[in-house]
Amino acid sequence: MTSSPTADTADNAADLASRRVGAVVLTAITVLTLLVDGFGGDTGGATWRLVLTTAFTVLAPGWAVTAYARSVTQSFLWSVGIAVSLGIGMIVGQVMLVVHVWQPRYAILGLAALTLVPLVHHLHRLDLLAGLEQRYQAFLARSAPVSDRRFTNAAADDKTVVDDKTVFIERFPVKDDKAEDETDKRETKKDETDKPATRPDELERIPGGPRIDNAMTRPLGRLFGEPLSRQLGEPLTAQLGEPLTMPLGQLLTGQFWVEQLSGQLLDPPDETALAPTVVLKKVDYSKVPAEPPAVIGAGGVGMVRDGVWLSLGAAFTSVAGLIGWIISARFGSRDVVGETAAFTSGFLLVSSLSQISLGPALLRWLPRAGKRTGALLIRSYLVIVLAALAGAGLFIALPAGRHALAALPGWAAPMFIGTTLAWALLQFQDPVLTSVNKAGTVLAKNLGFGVGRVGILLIAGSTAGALGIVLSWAVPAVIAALAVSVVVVRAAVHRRGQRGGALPDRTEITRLLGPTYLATIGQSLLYYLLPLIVTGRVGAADGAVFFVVWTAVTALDVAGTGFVNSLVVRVSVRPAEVGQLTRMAGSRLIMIFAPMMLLGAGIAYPLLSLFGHDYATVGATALRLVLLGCLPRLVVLLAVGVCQAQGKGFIVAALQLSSAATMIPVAVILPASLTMIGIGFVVVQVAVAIGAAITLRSRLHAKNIEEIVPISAEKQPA
Amino acid sequence: MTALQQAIAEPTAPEPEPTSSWRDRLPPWVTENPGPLIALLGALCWVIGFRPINPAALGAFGILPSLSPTLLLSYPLLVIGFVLELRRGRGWALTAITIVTVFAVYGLQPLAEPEARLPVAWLHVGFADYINAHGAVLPDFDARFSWPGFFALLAMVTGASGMKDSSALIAFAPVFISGIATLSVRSIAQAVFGEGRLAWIAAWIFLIGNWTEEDYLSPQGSTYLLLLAALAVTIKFLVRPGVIEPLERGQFLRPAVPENSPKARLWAQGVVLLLGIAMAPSHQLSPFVLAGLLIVLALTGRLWSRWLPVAVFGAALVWFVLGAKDFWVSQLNEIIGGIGDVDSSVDQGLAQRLSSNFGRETILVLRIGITCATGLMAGLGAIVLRRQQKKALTLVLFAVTAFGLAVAQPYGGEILIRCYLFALPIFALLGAVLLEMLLHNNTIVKTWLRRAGLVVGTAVIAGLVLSLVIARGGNDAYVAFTKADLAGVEKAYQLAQKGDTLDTVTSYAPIIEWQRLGDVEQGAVEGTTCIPYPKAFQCVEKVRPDLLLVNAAQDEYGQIYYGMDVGWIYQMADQLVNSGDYRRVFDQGTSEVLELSSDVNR
Repeated sequence: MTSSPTADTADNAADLASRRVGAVVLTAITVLTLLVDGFGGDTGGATWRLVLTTAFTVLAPGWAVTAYARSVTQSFLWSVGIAVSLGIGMIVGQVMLVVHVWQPRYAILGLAALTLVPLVHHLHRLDLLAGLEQRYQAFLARSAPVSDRRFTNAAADDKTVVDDKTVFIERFPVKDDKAEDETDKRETKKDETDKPATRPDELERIPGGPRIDNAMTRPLGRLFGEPLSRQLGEPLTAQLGEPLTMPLGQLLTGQFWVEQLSGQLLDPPDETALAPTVVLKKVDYSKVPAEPPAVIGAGGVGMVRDGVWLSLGAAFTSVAGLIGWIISARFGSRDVVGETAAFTSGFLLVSSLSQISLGPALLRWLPRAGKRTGALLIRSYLVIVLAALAGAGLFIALPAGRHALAALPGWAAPMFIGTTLAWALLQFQDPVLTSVNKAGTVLAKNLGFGVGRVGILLIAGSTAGALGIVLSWAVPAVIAALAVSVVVVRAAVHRRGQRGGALPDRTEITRLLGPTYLATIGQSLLYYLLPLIVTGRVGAADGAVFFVVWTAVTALDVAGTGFVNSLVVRVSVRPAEVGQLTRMAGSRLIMIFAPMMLLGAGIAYPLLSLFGHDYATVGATALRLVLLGCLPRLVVLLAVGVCQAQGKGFIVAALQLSSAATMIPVAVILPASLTMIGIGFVVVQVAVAIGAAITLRSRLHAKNIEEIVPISAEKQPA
Repeated sequence: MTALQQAIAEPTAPEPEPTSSWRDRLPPWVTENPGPLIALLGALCWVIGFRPINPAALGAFGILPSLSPTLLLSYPLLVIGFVLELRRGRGWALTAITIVTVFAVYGLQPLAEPEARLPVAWLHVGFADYINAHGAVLPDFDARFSWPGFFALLAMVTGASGMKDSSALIAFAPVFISGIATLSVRSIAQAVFGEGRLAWIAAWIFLIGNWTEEDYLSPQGSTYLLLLAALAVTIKFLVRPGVIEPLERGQFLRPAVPENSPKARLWAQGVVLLLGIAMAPSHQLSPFVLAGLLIVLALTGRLWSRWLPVAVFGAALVWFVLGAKDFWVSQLNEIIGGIGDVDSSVDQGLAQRLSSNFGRETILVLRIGITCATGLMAGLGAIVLRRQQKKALTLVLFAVTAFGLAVAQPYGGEILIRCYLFALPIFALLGAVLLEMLLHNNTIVKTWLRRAGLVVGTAVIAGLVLSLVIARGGNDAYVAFTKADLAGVEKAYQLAQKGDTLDTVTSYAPIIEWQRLGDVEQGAVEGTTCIPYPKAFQCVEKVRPDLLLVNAAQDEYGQIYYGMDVGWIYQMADQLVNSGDYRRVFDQGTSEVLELSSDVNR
């Protein structure tokens, strides 16, 4: 049975879409299993939890393994995936039996954690493949069917080798950009009147001959509808009269690898003088590298990957924080935990204030800094360090600060300053790493910090008391801050060789930092003040339930913000592609977060049952409502990201503050019931999301995107 | 001749009115989707005709009397929908119809019956729960504990979810296992025949031929999925030329490299090895069957990785020698004595199952009919394949290998059922070739015969699917349970003290060994030296279990297999109570629990 290449690509696209849905669903199931079985304990299970754990065990691990197989149908993928899952489960269970270590919960948790790695890799990889498909479809749409091209060329050119599986050579006549545009217009008109396909060679032929005045990038520029020079990273140049042969194994264009590019620039130029021969190889997906070429990583695909890393990093920080508090509470007396809580809250507050929103601003500035990256980083680090030191000194001088330090007599002041400094740097480094294309390091850093903290707590928490708890923050924070600084410095050194680069001028700094700082305050108000207001209104018991419910919202919000940060970085360097990038980020944001929110809403009752029956009874409806309210909140996050990337600080502030400024009065006015507050949250978020959507639309359809960005390389840096 | 004369001489026929057939008058969405619409009608019939089944009211015909005609009508409609859609070949529609049919066939009992059926499934949950509670298997208890891989998996899932009991998974396990097995057969068919109708037809033949009910929560059910997946991966990635393609000269000794990348082959070998290793400690037969199938591929010169069958066989053998030592040391005589005893296998598998009443025989005839029909289709399919200049030898050898198990050992009289189960995917592949010819490719005969072929093909599938539904529910008189049965068992577990004996009268019917494994001795009076038919009272008095379960399932079992009177078990219970030796501690409808009186020596 044979099918046309066009049908093949359509099937490929559908298959990739199905795989992406599978990866998203299984990732959600795996994460839920981690959460539910992680916090659920060894007893007190429920049928839904058994079903969830079973679903993970029989579906996810094997699917993650099988999805690496190429050219397989969905039947194959799922049937083999399930069998491999069962096989892995049997082996793990059997090994535990044989070695007499029966720890089923830890086994499942370990399996889930391991499974998450390939699943996330699939999410990223499938995005890459989907991007390739999309580009190839676009290429097909603007040219004759590939089958025609192949066989026409096969007949016309004896150099062409037609083979579906391996290599074919195709001659791409040179063309001029302007002439091509005109040709496109003519062809469009022609297509309207004359439907039968024109020979592809005729489509490519440009009257007036090619331009070879500077570089070959121009004639090859529209090879697959995307500027080739961008994919290469630097312009492709050749001297007149010199033969040109370039192996380009890493260059991906559409569904093809460009394996070799050869040609000869002759003088005088005529239509046949420059006829670069492009050796293309149809993409065998098994040969697509695990990591995409760096130049592609800078595009939409890398954005999604970074977004997932950042979201996971944020989610892991939340989980690790919770685990840390649970261990602290278990090992330390209530007094010790209380005293260290004051100390901890102090340095968290000071380091947070010392950020002065420089992090979010760097998401926009650093990617554009080019060879001036180092200068920008030094100044930013200096600001953060000075602000943290000043803040810590001020805090120690205040009566409340002295009280907080009482837990560690003698050690308290230097330890407070050191921890504040380390924590401030650690927080600040997240956006820095994102901006220098090292989002994976954020996840690694958060994992390292979380594991280190839990480890120190387990070792020193029971013996060293308050000091142990404080050290569990300080030691991993210092180590992580130093390690990340090394990564940042190396990235800055690497960028020194780049050409160009701009630093923000005073206007830019003022217009972005001021309003963004306000926005941060607005977000903090929403995060921290709302639970206090609700507790004041509904009482301590129901307030505790709302605190749990609200924790889920803040975790999702932080994770979503992390995802959007990767969009900010991309849009800031590619302002013209804001529409494409935003649509991609939006679709992935919804694809990743919406199922989790909906699933969370669906199993709200059993989820809250983990904390106790009363929690579920009182808070299930409220949790469902706030999770549903988080769906429109995604639009707000997206709009905030785009505006931030475009330097529209005031809009960022307006969006963030409007959410807080509306929600807090609503929580005060509404009847004292968690359900009513949940309804209020949904209404407020929908209203703000409508405003955000309108704003977003206007930002995406702005006439001249470049004019929106007011950074000028010519101006003196501030 | 004038025009008038001409008109008189040759009266022109009146201008025929433009006739429009009834098809033309239908809206396009109907004419374009006849298959899905008829399947939808079938699904509606199923929903409308669905009614709960009371297991206590079932007899020798199983669930058949409890099924409404409307529900029975739904199955042929689903088949017609599938056959009509097959011509168009739209993946989404065929997938949807197949999923609905899987639920309609395999989900009927889980949805209609009050509790999960099949006592062995409850027993397996008991095994898993023991492992979860103790972190080890119970030594010298049951041969199945010598292959604990599946039970360890079940126990791990149960323990991780904080549960003590995984019985919630029993009911819908057949839907899951059979559904995925159908998917696997489609994958194998795609690897053998390529994309197209054949793969769908093969999947459906499997779907409608799987009467064996080995798809419950069991090691054989789960490892069957592993076996099918391993076969699919091997044929897809590690075989060249294809299974039905002719072999080129010299390829027999030196197999050609499959047309894929080294990475793909490495992945495939890894997966098959993983599946083989997982099967080795999980089931007695499946890994050996897989090794056998791989050996067939190697012997027919198609398997590129010739070390794979050795590795799979080696893993199974190593586990058998080292891991299942307790089993084979105690069972050595039985195993060795059973080799080559084909008569015994056939006797136990066939003859014993035929010695029953009319209803029972009807069910058995249906099962044999399905087996013969799929086998016959496979045989004819092999002939058709040969006529199409393809090679059927490898597939035929696959089927022979599956039935070769009957030579290996009696395996508790079930070996023929297992043989059929292992051969069914191969039957499905070969049968698909025949049905494809009947349904679509019948170009060698006249037009009316072509239509007849379509009708015959559809009728065969429809007949098979109806037979399947009836055959799968044929045992439900004694393998399905009421809520009262379950409550009775739980009550018995509450009352039982450590070391007590908890028995049933018949050896197969009720739920036992679901909990308190190794703590309470659980078994059947029938399994002792005393035979309770027809003198059940005397037999129970002789064995004197501390607790005795009585329910309708045992009553039916006695009637069907041993010709006992209706209500014999309740009469026995009354006798026991009247004798003063037992007292009734639980009585809920048809379910009772009798406890040995305290003044009797326990």
